Amino acid sequence: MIAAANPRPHRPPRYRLAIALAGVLVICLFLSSFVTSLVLGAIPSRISLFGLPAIALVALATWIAVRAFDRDPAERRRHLLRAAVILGIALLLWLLVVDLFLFTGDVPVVALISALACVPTTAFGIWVVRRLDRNEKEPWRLVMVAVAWGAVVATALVIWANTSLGEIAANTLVPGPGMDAFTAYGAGFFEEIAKGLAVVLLYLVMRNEFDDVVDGIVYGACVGLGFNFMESILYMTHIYAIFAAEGFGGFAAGLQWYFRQVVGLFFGHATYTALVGAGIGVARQLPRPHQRVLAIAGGWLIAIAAHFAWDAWLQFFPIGDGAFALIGVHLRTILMDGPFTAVVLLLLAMGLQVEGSALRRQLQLEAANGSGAIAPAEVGVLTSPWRRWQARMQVLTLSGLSAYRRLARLQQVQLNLAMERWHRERQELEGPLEGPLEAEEELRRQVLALKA
Amino acid sequence: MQTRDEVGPLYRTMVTLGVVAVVILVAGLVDFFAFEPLGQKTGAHATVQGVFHYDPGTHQVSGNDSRRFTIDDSFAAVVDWTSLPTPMVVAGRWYNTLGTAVGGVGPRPAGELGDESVVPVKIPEGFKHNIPGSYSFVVERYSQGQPVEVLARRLVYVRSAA
Repeated sequence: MIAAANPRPHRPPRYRLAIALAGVLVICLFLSSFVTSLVLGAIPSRISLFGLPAIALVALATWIAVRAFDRDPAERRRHLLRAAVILGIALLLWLLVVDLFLFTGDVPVVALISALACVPTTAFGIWVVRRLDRNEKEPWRLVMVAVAWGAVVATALVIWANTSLGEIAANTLVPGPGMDAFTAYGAGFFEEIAKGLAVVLLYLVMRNEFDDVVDGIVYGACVGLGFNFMESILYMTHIYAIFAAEGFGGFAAGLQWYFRQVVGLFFGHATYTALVGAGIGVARQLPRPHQRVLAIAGGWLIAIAAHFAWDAWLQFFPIGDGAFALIGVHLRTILMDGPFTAVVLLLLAMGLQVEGSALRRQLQLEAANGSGAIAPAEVGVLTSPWRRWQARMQVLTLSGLSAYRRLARLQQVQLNLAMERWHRERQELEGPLEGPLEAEEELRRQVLALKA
Repeated sequence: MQTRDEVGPLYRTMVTLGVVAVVILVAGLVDFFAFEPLGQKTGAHATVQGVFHYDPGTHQVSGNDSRRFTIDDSFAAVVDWTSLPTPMVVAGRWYNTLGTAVGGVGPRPAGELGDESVVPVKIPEGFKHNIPGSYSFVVERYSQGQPVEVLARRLVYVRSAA
């Protein structure tokens, strides 16, 4: 891992904020488990019994995995293996939670089949989203941390809130659109807070890997995909349990899978949390605190509003009868969530344009300073994902896989160097300014070593 | 500074989106209060005598007041409509776990509902059983054609198996 441009002997103040946030979250989880156990009876007690250890295991696995990359590469494999085993146990426990919550009773098999059905589609979604970051892809370990947070931590955080709100609504409001609006407010607010906190923590703790709006959108969408993965399992299992006695539980669960994992994969949660991430990503590059607050608030509010609009007003969308209903339900997703997804794509395009022109400028400056890290002829290749890919494929054909990987690594370090220069130019470096060039020098050394 | 301006359009977009969000959320509040209007408390309460096993053949209830049934059980709420002012327009409705109305009476003036004190749950069309999950029975007061106040409420749970 490359050190930041201005490494400091002490942790920056944002770490304290991140630790405080994490502490508040843990307290919230424990308090909510006690409250739900006392108020809502035996099933929530069992959820807490399996759910809290699952959350603790995910947190532990995350910590070990992130630390693994700071250690001696010889020891890294052992730590990663340990993190993977712990994460696996956490996921199994969570599947038990899902089943218990839904009283399927007879088996965890329904939840397991649902999970297996959702893995390929969610994996495809994560692959696509990560590839959207054309210039500097986020490391897999952080992408998977975001996905795991969305799947396990965020869903656990909102169970108590959604259940309690549902109880309040059922006991106080007139059934109908008013009640739907009330629960939609709750779902929008609590779910977007729970998911968005993952992006905030990445922004606070992993600043070196959180460069701009593009990164915010990628991390946010990945959290949303993780949340959608677990919610799909939950709904599929629930719907199966409801319709099993009628003999079409499997068909009903399959329809849920189709609408959540195919039609709605990039709409819904992925879009909402990408909007939260966009706000945080824009804030990353703003100089004044009040601007940062406004950008983050804007992203969070539009995510809550988009989520609310879907939950509250879904019922008003006319889907028609018979064969037209099939078209209607697809149109509903496109017309109700599509505009928000389009906004995410617009922000992504704007972010890529800003990032692309900044990298081109920095690569040209680096080529002009004569360090040898970037040759003038390389600038055109490095600024075009297509030409980078062509160059790698040419090397693969001529010199084999090892040369391909070496060139891929070289291109990545050269782009990291340009990114580091961009942050220095924009004065986005933290703390005292002694030795702001240290990371750049290290990156240049790496480039020259790879070229040699 | 020139380089700071490159993020300016993104910042302004985020602020604009925040404003759009506030408009959507305010529209949501308007929607909420349209269906949950303020100032509708009359202080009236309907008496639900209980939820009992129900015989669709005889239209009679039997057994004790219960909160748990199975998907094969027929059950019905029994309402004492005389507990409400005679001209008050009311309805009794069952909602299943999906929020779908599955049986009910009214809306009509409470005085006209004396013969319909037993309100059964209906199995949805095309289904062989009740669907499992939480069911709620509500007595609603109507005003200008829409329900505006809940006068009584009972929740029961329907299990998958006996």
